Amino acid sequence: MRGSPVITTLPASSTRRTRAGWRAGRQRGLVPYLFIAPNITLFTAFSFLPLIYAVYISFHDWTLIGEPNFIGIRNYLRMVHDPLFWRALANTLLYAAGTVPTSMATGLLLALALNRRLPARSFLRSLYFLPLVVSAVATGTIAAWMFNDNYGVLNALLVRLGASRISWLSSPYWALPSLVLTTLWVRVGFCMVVYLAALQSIPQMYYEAARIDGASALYQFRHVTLPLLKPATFLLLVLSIIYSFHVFDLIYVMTGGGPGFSTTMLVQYIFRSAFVTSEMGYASAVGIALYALILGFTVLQWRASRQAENVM
Amino acid sequence: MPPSTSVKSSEQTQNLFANGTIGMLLGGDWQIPFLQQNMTKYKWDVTYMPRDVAMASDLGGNCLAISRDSKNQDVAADFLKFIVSEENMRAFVTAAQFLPVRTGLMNQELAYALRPEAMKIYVEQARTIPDHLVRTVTMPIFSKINAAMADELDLTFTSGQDPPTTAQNLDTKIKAVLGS
Repeated sequence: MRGSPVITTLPASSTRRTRAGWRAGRQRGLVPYLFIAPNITLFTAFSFLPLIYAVYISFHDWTLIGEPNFIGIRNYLRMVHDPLFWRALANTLLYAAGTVPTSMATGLLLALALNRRLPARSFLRSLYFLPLVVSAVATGTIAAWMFNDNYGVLNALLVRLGASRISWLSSPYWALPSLVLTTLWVRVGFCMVVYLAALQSIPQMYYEAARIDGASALYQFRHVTLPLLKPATFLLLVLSIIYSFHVFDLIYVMTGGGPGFSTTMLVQYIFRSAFVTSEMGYASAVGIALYALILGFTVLQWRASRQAENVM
Repeated sequence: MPPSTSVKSSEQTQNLFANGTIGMLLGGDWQIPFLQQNMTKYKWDVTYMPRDVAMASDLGGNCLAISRDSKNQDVAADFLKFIVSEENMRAFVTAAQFLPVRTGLMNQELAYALRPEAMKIYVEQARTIPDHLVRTVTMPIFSKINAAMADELDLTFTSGQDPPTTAQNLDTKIKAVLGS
């Protein structure tokens, strides 16, 4: 982002600084910290300190009752040799690959459609955004009903059309695609809103200029709209990948990580290690691995976007 | 067993029974309040579980325990004694449709709020729970054995894992838990 010129008044330098002036200066220095204090306090209490504590616990054997027992890097060694950890990682990557590009592309299409003068435009925008506002447990429960083998609306529809029923959530092959479809339903609204805002901030004069030069609608989209949507695309990419990597509630409600381990994601595996088999140390080690993974992705994307900006 | 009712699925078998999709259910006494309230179109009753050479049953629920590192072990023990006293357990199980875990109460006629005649069969079936099962379920490491059993049986019922493999995996996993 390029900085805009800022007009400031510089205080006249004086060797005899009065006490009141010094106090005012110090207060001016303190004010920004005062503004960010609530955020910093909450972040420290609920994100930063627990993170440090998780690193500490990951080197221990701890059931939550009694004292943690130091075991060095044994939790990490176990993780590297644990086929379930790798399965959960593969599932997480597969889920991200299934949800991120599709939700962004569909969100963009919807945003383009709803950026025109359409009847009931606001109503449609709210409708697509609705699943995101509702708790994931509620959307998950509704989706589990829709996908239900016995009385779900999807299977009822298939039977009406003469097709056979699909075991959406109880077949190891269909469970992940069903979750991806549900995630699309939830995430498309968010992508749409971000893209809508970005579309509306593109000045019309670019399109006018392109039209005068004889650019077709498709050409305008490729060479005007898409490049100017880059910051929004980058933001959505980072947010969507992070969301996909730490998805939990939707899957907990819909499949519980099953059938078998076909929908066990990393966060499911952390939950299971921590609260089903009471292995806090191991759960923390997997948590740190997930943290490193998300951090790595974010840094990579950050670098890529910085480079892209420099080229432009 | 239908894959959709496996342990990890979100399907509530009691719903399928209450709405008439399935005709029989391996269910628990705690489901009686739900059935009384929701199964309005059909009548239901309880019988003993299928048997071959011997009868047995499963055991579930939550355990009450005092941590070894507890600072106030005496107070905690007093509280546990209070919770499991005959009088309190009678009040709890009769109001909430649960089975008593005091042998003294199992031999008494308990005034259950709902379907007392069905509860009698549950109490009778509970007598067949073998002692070694009680000892296993109340082990502190049982949660790990339980997770291994849930995983392996789920793989068998939903993902086509054959029974010999399941038995072999369970043997390996349970031995690992016991050895750790």
